[in-house]
Amino acid sequence: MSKQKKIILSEEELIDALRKQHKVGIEQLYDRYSTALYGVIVRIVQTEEIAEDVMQEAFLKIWNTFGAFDESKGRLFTWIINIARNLAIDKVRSKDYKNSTKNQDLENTVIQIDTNRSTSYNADTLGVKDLLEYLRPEQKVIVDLVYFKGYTHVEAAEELNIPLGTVKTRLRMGIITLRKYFN
Amino acid sequence: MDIDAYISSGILELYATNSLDTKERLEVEALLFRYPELRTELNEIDEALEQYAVLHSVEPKSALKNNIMAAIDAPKVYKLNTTYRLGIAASVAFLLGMGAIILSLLSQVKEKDGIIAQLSAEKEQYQLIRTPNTTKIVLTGVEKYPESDAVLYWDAENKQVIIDCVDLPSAEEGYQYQLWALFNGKPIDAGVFEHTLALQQLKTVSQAQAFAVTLEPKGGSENPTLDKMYLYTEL
Repeated sequence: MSKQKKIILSEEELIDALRKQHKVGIEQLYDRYSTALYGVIVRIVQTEEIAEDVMQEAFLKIWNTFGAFDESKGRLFTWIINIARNLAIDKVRSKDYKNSTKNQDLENTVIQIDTNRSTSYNADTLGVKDLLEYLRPEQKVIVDLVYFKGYTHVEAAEELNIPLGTVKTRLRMGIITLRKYFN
Repeated sequence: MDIDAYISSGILELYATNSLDTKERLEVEALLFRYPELRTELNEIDEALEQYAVLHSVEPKSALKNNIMAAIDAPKVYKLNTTYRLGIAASVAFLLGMGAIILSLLSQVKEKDGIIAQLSAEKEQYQLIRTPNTTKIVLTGVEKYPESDAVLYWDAENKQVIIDCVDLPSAEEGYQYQLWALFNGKPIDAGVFEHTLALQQLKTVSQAQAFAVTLEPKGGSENPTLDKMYLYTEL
């Protein structure tokens, strides 16, 4: 409990520093969240070269538009992951990207990244395996499509060929499972 | 409002995963503002998703941090894609176009102001000419310039003087015609005028027994150059 309180406090300081455009804010934000953001970006854009561009765009956007962040509407990480995800999706939809990259499906990409970058992969592999005992595959795939890849529910329903209502239910059940697991 | 029912509807999960359209999102935000228990619930959803993302972290190359910090340090240089470039070019062209139109309108307005000022001055002069006090004096050419003449309007009460219908030879470069009022043998400067313009208001004259016009260096002289006298009329 005391540990968690400390984290929340330092997040407040981080937000304060970013609001005042103190560089220590963006530096600490990078140290804390770059690997999580990069994990999402790389899953969407599928190549590290493009992922690095998107990361830079995302951090510049966070830095330049921080005045728009409102903590009463959600956590800091939720705000920055939305920025990163949206920029990554914009990139994937851009003409340049479509010309340069063949589309690969999500699972292949993650496997490919895991293979290529296994040494520098920060993922808590044991943690994921452990989690998968709780998070059912049909829930995980929807959480991943929506949260990591920015699919709308309609897109996810089409991709998986299941009813829209099922997508909504599984997403909610998946998140409830995550809450139980992490809390 | 039934908060529990709202929570179990799953809408906060959709909100947290950025899955709502703008209208729905604004509705959720309005309720978040009103009900702290919704904010607590959302915070837990956010935290769980955050931890899930952390679990799937990928470490970027270490050079990326330096690049990003350098980009943040650098003066703002916006990388523009073609659409933006075209948009900006179009905006600049539009503004330049608007600027040109405004300038042209302003110059037209200015021109019209000039015309109006001129007309109102002329109107004043006509009114002066038409007052009963005003005397019309025909200035006739001296022996040397029998063809030359001009018409003078003098309102002795208000001392106003206007010269009109000037028929004088063109003045040489650097010279101007000057009107003189003569009273008790003394010439009094009544101002210089252009021989090409009609209806020119000159300096006030309070007393005169005669009027004369001489050619003088531009700007006028203190005393008339008598051998350059063109017009002379006694009253």
